[in-house]
Amino acid sequence: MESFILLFTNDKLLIFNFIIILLFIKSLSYIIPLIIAIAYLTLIERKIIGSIQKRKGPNIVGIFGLLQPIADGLKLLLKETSLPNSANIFIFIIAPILTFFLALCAWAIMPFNEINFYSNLNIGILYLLAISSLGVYGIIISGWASNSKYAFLGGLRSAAQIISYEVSIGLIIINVLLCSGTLNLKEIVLAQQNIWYIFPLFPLFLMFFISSLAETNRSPFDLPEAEAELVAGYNVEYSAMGFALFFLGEYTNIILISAVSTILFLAGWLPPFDIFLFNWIPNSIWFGFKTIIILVLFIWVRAAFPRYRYDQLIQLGWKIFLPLSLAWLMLTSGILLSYDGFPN
Amino acid sequence: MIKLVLFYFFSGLSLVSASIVISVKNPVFSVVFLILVFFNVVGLLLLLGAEFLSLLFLIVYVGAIAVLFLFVVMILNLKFIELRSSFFYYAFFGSLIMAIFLFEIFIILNSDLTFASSYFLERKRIWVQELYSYTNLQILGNVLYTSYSYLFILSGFVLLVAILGAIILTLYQRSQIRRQDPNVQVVRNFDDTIRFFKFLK
Repeated sequence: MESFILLFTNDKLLIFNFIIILLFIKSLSYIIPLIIAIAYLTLIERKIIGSIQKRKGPNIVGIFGLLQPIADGLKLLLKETSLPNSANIFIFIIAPILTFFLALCAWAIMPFNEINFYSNLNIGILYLLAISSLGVYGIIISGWASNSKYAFLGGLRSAAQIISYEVSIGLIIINVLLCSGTLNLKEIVLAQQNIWYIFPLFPLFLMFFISSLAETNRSPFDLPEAEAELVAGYNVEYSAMGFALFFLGEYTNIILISAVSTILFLAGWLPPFDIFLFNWIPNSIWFGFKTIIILVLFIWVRAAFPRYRYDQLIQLGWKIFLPLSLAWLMLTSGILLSYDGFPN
Repeated sequence: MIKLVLFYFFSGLSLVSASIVISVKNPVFSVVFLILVFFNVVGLLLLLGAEFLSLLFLIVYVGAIAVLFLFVVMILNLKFIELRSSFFYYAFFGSLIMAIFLFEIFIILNSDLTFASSYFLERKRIWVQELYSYTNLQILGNVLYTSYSYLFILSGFVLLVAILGAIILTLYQRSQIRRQDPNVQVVRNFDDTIRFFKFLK
């Protein structure tokens, strides 16, 4: 792209401006579809849960309720922003912005097909882990700054939950890295050309899925927003845009983690069989299709299972998933070692 | 040029926020500024080209250790510690520790980086290839798992000792506590738990 403009001009400032504008447009082309995807994820969630519970779901605004998310978003925009009297205003305002910003940041390395990504980082997985571990701060800080008992307890719960499940997620990811031999997301997908990792590593996929439910505070692990005890958790005191940003951040993280599990286990953009008919469908559509399957699984789990108790949740994380994923790590590396299967 | 500006930006901001950490009264704010220091150090490491180390630093320090700090500070609810009474109390030991660390830094700066010599002095290395074709990760792994594998395992044992210590601290349990035992709950059945009595009139 830089060489393209070099044909026309030699002015360094002009080239610099051109690159800046290009990057801006590129990032907008990520953010806007993402926000639309979040809006319609909420709609599909309400529709699916409605049909599971034998209701219709939202069907008044627009055809089949298709304009419902837009109406919801507008409502949140127009509402009054209220700041609690005893809150720490600066941190109170920073926290939702931080949450949404970090949720968007992680998308910078997501490859949608072989040529389509914002940046192709060599240590992509590490970047993802770093960003997701930073996401805790938005929650814990908002809980503290609200100066309310409910918000504080919700924030602490949520942070403890996210930290404990991050450990097992990291260990599960190491298994995939052992098989693929790279930290680059694109090369992880290309390493799955012969077999998707979901087949040899199916138990790990299940564990990754359950851990990601806990990581994104989804039910059955939605302890932070346990309505019965904590009202709504860390975002009790937030209204209007603050709440909307938390909401957007949460759903961005859900889509992100389903995209990541698509890349790690379901071979990203690769079609299931290497035949003409499947190759004819564009690769990024395969990617979106697989991501949507996992998203629907997320919603299905929400409609089907009751909420865990908090000590059960922590026990599941530290006493069951952590030893099990460590054992799988030993097993995977042992098998790879004995059959000389380590990638070069 | 941009690198120089960024270097001054990161190092200056890290110094400023490090001084805020010890001067601000609210302990939660000082932890937040500590996180800012970590961020700036990550920026400095990125400028050096050590992207793997910088991200690892971010994950370990900011993602785990600082969160625990924040946890403890928030739960203890330490409000506004009086600064002046304790400032000169710690001055002597603080300056002593600072002197020791400064001394160590000077030792490292004066030595000629001999720790890497066995790796670099090997012959038959194609330096151009090493410079441009290996990633940060490969070079680090090459050194860590071959020349320094013993030290690597040794540091693992140090961490293991720390984990064992933490577990032993929490192992103490009071007796006579009612606990939930899933096995007992599963084994319970209708005949054992509910009995019918006949009331005689």
